[in-house]
Amino acid sequence: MNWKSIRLELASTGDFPAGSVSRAYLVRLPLNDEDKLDEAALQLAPTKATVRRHWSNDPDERGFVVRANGHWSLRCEGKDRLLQLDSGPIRLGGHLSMIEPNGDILPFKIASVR
Amino acid sequence: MGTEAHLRSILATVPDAMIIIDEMGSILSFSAAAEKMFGYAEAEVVGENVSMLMPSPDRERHDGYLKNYRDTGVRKIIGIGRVTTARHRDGNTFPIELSIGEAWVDKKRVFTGFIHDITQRQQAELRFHELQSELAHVGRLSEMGTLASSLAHELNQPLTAITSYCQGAADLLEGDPDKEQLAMAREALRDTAEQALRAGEIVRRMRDFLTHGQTERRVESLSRLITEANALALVGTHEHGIDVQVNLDPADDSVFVDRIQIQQVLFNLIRNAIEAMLDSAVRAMTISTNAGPEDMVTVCIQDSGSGISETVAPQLFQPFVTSKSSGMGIGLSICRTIVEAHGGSIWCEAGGEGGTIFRFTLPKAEVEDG
Repeated sequence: MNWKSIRLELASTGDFPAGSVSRAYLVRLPLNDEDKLDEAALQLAPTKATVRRHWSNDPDERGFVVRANGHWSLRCEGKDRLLQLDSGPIRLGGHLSMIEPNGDILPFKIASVR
Repeated sequence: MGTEAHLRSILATVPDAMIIIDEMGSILSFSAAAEKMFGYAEAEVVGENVSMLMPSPDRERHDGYLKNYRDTGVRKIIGIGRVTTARHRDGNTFPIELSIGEAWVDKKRVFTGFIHDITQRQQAELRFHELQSELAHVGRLSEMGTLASSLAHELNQPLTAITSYCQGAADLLEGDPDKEQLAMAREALRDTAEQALRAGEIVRRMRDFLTHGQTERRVESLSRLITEANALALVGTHEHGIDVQVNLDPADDSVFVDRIQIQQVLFNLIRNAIEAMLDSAVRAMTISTNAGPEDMVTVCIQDSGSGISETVAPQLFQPFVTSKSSGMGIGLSICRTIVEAHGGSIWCEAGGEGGTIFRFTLPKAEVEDG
């Protein structure tokens, strides 16, 4: 079991062509030897899978990574944001997509895995 | 050397982080020390709102602070400086000393922030501060012990006198007392009353000693007390990855307290919360305030630790009771003494999902409108 702290930063979008380091999530997840999500480890200790949302000058939010309707979701302050965690390895420099509660799809860059 | 090149060379070598923002809060310049301190490259943060370097609640309030200064010109931090908390790119917070200067460049107002990471300095001061508090409290307990012996001795005298006067009066009134015996009995009862008053005076002196310490109470901003105490209490906890959330009620921010004493209470409770979480998978602490009950404000510090054992809980606020392997067990006793001297109360309860919630109340300050 190898729990990691993963920082996701907003990648290039129409509003932020160069991405934005001030729009980020810090997610704690267990990764296996292939750097993929270790679902069994996550099920054993779901409260360890914490999420912190630091978004421009919005108030900080925090919550947990949960399984909802067949998807992985970052649940903060009652809002679910779906995150494609099971699509491949989670490595520095990689990308993940997130679906916001309003349906917008935002790209994120994996800025650090520690 | 041109002015800009000169400035760049200063920015590259100045040991404290230096950040220049425009009057709307956008970052214009980010020194090499700032890059190291916060973990961002200058190219990544130029154009971003400087609030990204702050934890809540300053993060969401900073635009309001700037607007307030633009509108009123009233300086709350410029030229004054303060201890506060900053946040690294990795999400951890750390204590800083922040000084801000204001300048006009090409008819545009800019603010320069000089940021000194006080983690190292505070670590050394921290232990000194703890020892000092413990010694002060032990000293006070010892003083109280001395006072209690002295009180017992002093009270014994009037009580002995009262006993003999009453016995004498009873003897004089036995049978059929003559005029002279009645006069003597009256005198004995008068002396009894005098001695009872003397005993009362001794008790009053004792109460004055206990309740009126040498405190300096003023109207203080509760959010500022919490921000400063939190910054200090987080010193040296960087590697533990504590997630701190601060939810303060801005409507009831003014309290009438002794600043140093209440910061000591906050500091003790926050450090206890941090220590309680060190063995926990989730290390989340929430500090919040809300109005009430009545003319009080309630401060709440919740941790996600393992909770307090049932054996220790009932005597938690007694001196020399501790569940820790180190420490004297007087931190919470100090907290209770201080809070109660302010007319408040302190208690703890189990958190909803494990952990512990400490709450204490402080008197709201009457702030005149306008």
